[in-house]
Amino acid sequence: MIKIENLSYSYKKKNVFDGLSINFEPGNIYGLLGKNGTGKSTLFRNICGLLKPKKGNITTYGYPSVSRNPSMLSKLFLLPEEFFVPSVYVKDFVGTLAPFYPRFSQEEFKKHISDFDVPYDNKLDQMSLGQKKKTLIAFSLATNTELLLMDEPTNGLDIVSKTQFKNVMSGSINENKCIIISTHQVKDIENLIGRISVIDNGSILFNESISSIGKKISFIHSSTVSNSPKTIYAEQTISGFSEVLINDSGLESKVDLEMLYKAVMLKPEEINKLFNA
Amino acid sequence: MNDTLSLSRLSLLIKNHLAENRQRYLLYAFGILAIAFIVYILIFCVNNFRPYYFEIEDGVVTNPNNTTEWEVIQFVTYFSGLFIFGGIFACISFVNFSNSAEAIFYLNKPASHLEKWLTEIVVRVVFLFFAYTLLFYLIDIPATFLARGLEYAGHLENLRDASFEEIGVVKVFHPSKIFYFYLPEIPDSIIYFLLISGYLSIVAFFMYGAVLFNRFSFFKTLFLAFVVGMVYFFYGISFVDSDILMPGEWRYSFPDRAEMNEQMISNGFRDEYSGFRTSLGPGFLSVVFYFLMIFVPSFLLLCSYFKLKEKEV
Repeated sequence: MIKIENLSYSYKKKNVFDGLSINFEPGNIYGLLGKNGTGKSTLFRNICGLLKPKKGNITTYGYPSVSRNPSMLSKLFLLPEEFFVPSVYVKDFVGTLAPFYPRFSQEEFKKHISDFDVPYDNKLDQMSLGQKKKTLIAFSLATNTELLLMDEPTNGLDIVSKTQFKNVMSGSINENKCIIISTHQVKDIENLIGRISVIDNGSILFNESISSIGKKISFIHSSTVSNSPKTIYAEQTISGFSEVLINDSGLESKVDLEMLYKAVMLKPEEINKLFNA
Repeated sequence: MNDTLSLSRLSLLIKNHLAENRQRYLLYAFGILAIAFIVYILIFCVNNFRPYYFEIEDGVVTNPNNTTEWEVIQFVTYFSGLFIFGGIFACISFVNFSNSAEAIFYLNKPASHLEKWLTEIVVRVVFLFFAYTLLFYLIDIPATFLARGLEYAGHLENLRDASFEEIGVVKVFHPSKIFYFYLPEIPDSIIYFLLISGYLSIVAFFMYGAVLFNRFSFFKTLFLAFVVGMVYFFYGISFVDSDILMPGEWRYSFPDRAEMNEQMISNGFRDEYSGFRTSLGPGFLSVVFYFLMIFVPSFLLLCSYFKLKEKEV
């Protein structure tokens, strides 16, 4: 679906990617994680063809991304972190933009809008930031595009809306669809994503499915630190200690995304050794 | 799916563009109306409320040329406005590329670059042309009636027997002049050709500036226009002053194509001005002139298309 081979990209003075390679397959919700400025948004823009790689290739549905081909663009929807909404009523927005997406469903849009409690008769630019975002999330899901790129989708949403977001998203994935969510709010996408990819220093540091992670790593929270040789990473929290350990029980554990991310960033050798063994 | 040009997608894009910019365009329309209104008030004030001035003595208009001044006023007002608003409107072409969110929204719409480019041309060139003309006449027609009414009121007793050519609302779209500019027998047709191609050149230049510069595109394009204009001006002077062209009055006057063609046809490239051997005849200049007037806007429009295609956000 999306094939990124040896991608190199740099802004004027800053090198962002250096030989990054990754494939994104349908049927998955990917969580794209990384420090600030590691290039998560830049990767999205490269996938959409909004930026041109200095080296390497990106193909989306077989089209080179840089072509910004209408067939390709009608199969993907990007919800950027800083988004734009025109000064139109929701029904006009949908009425004039939806025809570009052949599989757009009005019913689904109305359902999502209703789930999000967004008023349908309002003007987009007169809504609150959260309402605008929820309208765009509802629109993006109703387009039924095969690829959905969401950059920090929960920024600006209140606590209830974040729960609504999780509920709406969990019902939207199917075997033909690929959703990539880039976020710092890992708690917001917990139990939602099926695969996690971490970018660091211009390349993919970690790329595994949640089930594979659960089988190889376990996460514990206790009042004392275990000091076990299986411990990969541990940190003190308000209520005690959180640890990331090698899971040799054979049982799949529940993945703590925040701890996993810290372990990947701070103990990359141990993590890579474990997963590449 | 045709990925280069689909008429249904193009019409969707135009519809989408107009829906998203409806408020903005309504505001511009009111702005144009207000400015045209103010300009006509100024014209009336400057002309002592008699812009349609004429005198009658013994049933004869003593200054018949003055009435035609009203036609010139309308003509100049119309085309000055068209050039200014055309430039401003072209400068806000495509999208505000300095706002990356807006640019992403625009570039991610599932339509080809050609369709996006054509939408801009349809809106910025064709729609503006007709909308501006309509708005101009909304002010010009009442202004013409008012100007004539004011003047007639002062000549009520003499007007009955007087005969003179009345000047009404100017016909800025004179088909025989616009569309047959290449026929020398149509008088003044070259002026229309110049004005139309000048309008297209301005629009094309500012459209290119809009896609070339991300920030302050209007001012940067104006500066670029100034630089290009200066280069063209000085280059033009050195070209005309060189011996490469045939000397004669035509060099310093407006190139009358009909006259040049006549010379070229009857005399070939024979130099009828004594003392010089001509390398390039007036026919050549005429061809270059027409080529530039058609080539420049077309070239700039093409440049804006390719720049849009290469645009990164």
